[in-house]
Amino acid sequence: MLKKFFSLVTFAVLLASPLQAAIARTYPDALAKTGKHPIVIFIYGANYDKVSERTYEVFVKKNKIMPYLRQATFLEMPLYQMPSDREKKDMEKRMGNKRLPGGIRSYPCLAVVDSAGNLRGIVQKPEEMKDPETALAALKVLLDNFYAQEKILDRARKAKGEKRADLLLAASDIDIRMPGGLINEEDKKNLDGGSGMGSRVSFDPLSVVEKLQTMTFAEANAHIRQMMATGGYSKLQRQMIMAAYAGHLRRGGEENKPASKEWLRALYTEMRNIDPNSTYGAYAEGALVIWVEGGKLTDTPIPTEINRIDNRTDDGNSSGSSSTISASDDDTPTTDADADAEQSDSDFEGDDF
Amino acid sequence: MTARLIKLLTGSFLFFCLGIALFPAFFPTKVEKKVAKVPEQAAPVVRETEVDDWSHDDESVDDSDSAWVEAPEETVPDRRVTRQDDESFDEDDVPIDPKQNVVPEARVHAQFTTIMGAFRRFVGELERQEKDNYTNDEFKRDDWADPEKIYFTLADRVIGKLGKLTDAAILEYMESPANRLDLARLTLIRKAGSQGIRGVTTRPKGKDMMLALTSDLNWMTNLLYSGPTKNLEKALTYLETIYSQVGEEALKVPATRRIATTTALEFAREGWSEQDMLKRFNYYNDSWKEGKLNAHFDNLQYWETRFVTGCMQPSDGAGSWGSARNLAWHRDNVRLPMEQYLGAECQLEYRLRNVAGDSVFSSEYLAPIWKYVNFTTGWAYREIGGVCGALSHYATYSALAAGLPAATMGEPGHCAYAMRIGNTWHRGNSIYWQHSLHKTFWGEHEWGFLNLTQKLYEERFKTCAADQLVAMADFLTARRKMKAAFSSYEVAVKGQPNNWPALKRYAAYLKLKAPNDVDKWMTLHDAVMDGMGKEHFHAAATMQARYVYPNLAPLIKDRNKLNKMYSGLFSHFKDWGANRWDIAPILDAQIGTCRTNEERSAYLREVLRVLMRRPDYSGSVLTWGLGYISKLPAGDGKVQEEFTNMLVQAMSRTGTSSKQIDETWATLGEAIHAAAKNKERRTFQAIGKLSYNKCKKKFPKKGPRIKGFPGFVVSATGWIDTATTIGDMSQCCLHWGVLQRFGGTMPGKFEGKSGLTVGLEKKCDLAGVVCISHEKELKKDRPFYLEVSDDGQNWYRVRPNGEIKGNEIRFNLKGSEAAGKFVRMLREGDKYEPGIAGFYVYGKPQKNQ
Repeated sequence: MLKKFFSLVTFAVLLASPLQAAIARTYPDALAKTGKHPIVIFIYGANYDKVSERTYEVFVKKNKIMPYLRQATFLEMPLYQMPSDREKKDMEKRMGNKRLPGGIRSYPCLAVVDSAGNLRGIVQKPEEMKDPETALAALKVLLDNFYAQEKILDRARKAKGEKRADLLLAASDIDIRMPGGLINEEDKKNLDGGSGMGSRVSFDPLSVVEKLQTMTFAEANAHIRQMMATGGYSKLQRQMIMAAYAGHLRRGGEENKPASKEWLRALYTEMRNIDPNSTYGAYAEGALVIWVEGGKLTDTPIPTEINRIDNRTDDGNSSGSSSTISASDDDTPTTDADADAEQSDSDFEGDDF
Repeated sequence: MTARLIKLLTGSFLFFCLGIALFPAFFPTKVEKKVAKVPEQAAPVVRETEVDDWSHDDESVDDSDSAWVEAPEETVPDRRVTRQDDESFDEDDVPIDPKQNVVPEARVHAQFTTIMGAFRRFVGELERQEKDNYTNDEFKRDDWADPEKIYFTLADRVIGKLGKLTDAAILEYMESPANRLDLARLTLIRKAGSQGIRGVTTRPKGKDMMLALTSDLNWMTNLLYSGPTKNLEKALTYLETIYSQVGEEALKVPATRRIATTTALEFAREGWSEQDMLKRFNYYNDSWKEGKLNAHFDNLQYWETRFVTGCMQPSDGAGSWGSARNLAWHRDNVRLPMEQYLGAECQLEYRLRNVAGDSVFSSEYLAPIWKYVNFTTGWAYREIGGVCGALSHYATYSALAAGLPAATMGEPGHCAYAMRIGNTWHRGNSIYWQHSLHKTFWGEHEWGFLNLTQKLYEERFKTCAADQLVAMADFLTARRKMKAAFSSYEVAVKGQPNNWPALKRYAAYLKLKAPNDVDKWMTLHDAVMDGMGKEHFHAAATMQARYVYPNLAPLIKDRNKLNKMYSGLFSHFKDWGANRWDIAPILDAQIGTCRTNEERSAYLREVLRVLMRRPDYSGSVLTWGLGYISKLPAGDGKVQEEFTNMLVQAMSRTGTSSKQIDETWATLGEAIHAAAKNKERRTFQAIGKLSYNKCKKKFPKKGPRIKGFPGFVVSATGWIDTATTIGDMSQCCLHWGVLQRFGGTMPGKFEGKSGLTVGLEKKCDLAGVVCISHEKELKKDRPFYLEVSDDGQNWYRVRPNGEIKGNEIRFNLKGSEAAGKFVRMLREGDKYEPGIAGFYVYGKPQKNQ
């Protein structure tokens, strides 16, 4: 009886323990075995980079990353500089007839790739890769987002028409790259429907600039407000639209008469508040200093009075100071998919992290 | 009593002060004695002769020198060693040895056989001895406060040890490391100047640094023979700054020493500040110590490290690529294997305007983002995007930050870069064959010279041997041993024929000492062809054109022989070599030696005869010829006509077989492009028709369908030019087609005052213009408009603007009274570059034209 009890307990413990990540030896092997889970590839410079060597030592040899990857497939991928014949053979063996996805800017890195070989996210910044803990924190966000997005995409793959477009839009709102080749010809017809996904997919910031060039301020305002109201633009795209609009007013349009500083203040504040932490949030912050306040950007923190013009409301919108400028809102429609995404987040919340 | 005492004390004090003040006058110190006793009006005791100073008279100088030798002992001259640069030959004040005061006879190849064996042995010795570094601290730290004493001590010793001053004796002498260190010390003092050395020793750690440096043969060799040493005294002060900061022990670490030396050399050469120099040194030294540089950096030699540590734009601040701040960002954020830096510009988005609509050329473009990116240039462009300049700099500085040699380079209207992978330089983001490198050793910016630099220093020990022989020759020049100096220069350039600075220096010495020695000049000419001319065609041709022809040509009386020599230059080259290069300066130099139109005519005939048979060069020679004719003074036009006929005849001889057709097409393309640029209507038309006859298949069969205007198509006999810079000119004959009924192709460019210009045969009353684009739907947001001119200089706008329908722009000029000989089509605002298929100007030639 006691023996049976112990056997059961052992079995239960084994079941409850975190699942080890699958380890692949080659890239084709990883692609084949990973299924709907991501592949995490540790790519590093093997014969030319001491930083890579040190990172490899800590991340891989001391096993600081792999135990926490759970269902993901792990692959280590050395890169050789001017490879010798032996190194070339090693590369060929690891890569087979596949190629690593493009878009990686720096090694060592942790690349998150799906089973089709699409690069979905990368941990590559030096401040992220400085130690395993920081890298894992960044990787966790990527993996969570991967699963959240995949869950929505699974539904989108089964859906049709506008429902599918809505789901694609919701998936693309998640902060991770969408897989390529997802939107087919038939989708394109539905994208411009209620979801606004069409606007997002075909967005070209410079065409906004070009369009505004010959417009009066009133026409530009109407055009931009319509875009912001009807388009399914992402936060980044909204900030770009605002940048184009504010730039047009700052330069003074065709008549070369710049808009008032108050007007610019409202626009740049609105632009910043869409996402203050993004590049274009910072751009707007800088624009407020140099073009509204007439200051200079220095190494010192931006003066608090600039920060005070914020008047940020809880939903992240600016009240603006000019009543003629309508405030934009971060009004990405909440869809069922969003709710699902939230659900999925909790599903995949990393108890292993 | 007290008052007396005070007076006495005051008097004594004043007397004491006076004594101190006058003491040096009566009892001068050693150095002051030398300076003070230089006779004010006497001839200069250290003679400096500029290379280009043809009026220099050796004998008169010798006279003054001999006068000085007989001067009484009290008037011991200033023995300062003047800083010697690459452009001058200084001579110490020593008596002339009559045996040495002769120009040795020119030697033929066979006469070098024995001595080349000795040269090779010397090269082998250098390689063998490098591992066992030779050190010798004979001159102590305080000795360096008196560099003249060291110089003259060493000078006497070297001359004494050299003995007979034969080639063999000199090479044998150089095999000893102790002797080479002596020569290096002499060279150091000569190149930095004794005042410069003294200046270094007055700095806090100057004497210690000088002792450490000058006691170490390898360090001295790497300092003096790893490329140019311009402003060497400044480089030494920079080295002292680094020495003070890191200490002697740190500088014993080979990598740190290499980084320090090359940084000091490059910053001194470029005239950059000490502050920036120190930041650059610290960046590379710290990065190396922390293991953050590419492993390839560890194996770089001094000369190649100079490309890295001497990278441009060293100052800190927004927009600077070479600041320590920016380099550190690239190092940490763009870590790639060497091969992948080539193409790293793909990490940036190509943008002429940012998303706010500000031009990349305006200060507003990046202004708001600087704080966010911590004033880091590479980061800023990665966030916002940029054009060719930013893209090329991004890739280049990513490699440089990792310690890999790279350099940006200009191309016509474009910025590209050069990057070294292994030992081969590759072009990145390049669209033209014309490259102007932003980092060079000798101020020669073309690709061929980069290739030459690489090949030269790849043969490290051979080049080092040749450089040391040049240093010896310079020293012998200074000691007025002309015969031995000549001999050493000759062995140096024979031993390492790719040594551009050595050849240049020898040519300068030859020009100074034996300007009329035709055999010597001819030998130099042949040496260049047989050596550098084997592989480095551009450099060899430049050497001949710039330093040999101007001196050799006046000495050759037989013009036929000279013309054969000129055309032989191109016969000698099998192709373009490492990269295509501009032959125009060479042809200009050659024709520049002709004195009469008959000589020019004979030259042109000969050079066309040879070059038109060479597909590589034929287009270029036609282009050059057309340009040359356009620049001739008007006169009666006969010369122009004769030369033009010669060119057209040469063109008509181009082949039309299937094998030759592409070559002919490319040749004529280059020529017609030149004709358009020179506004040569007749030539443009002649080449256009010729190309149509020879290569009809290259033109469209059917022209665009258009509805014309009343009158003739007066543009059909004109020329057309585009504002676009054209890199590949092989398709330029299609520009002529654009004016013809069957149409053609040419790139358009419309922004500001850029556009298409057509030159008509005569001034015409204009009825209308039709332009057909390759773009099916032309942009309509801004109007196209026309300007006309009588002289191609003063333009006026005609109305109405063009009417755009699909791919067609129509200008109906009925009733506008527009008339002119030149017509151009423009568009306001943004860059827009649709290709053009047809351009037709309708009207009637004015009768009084």
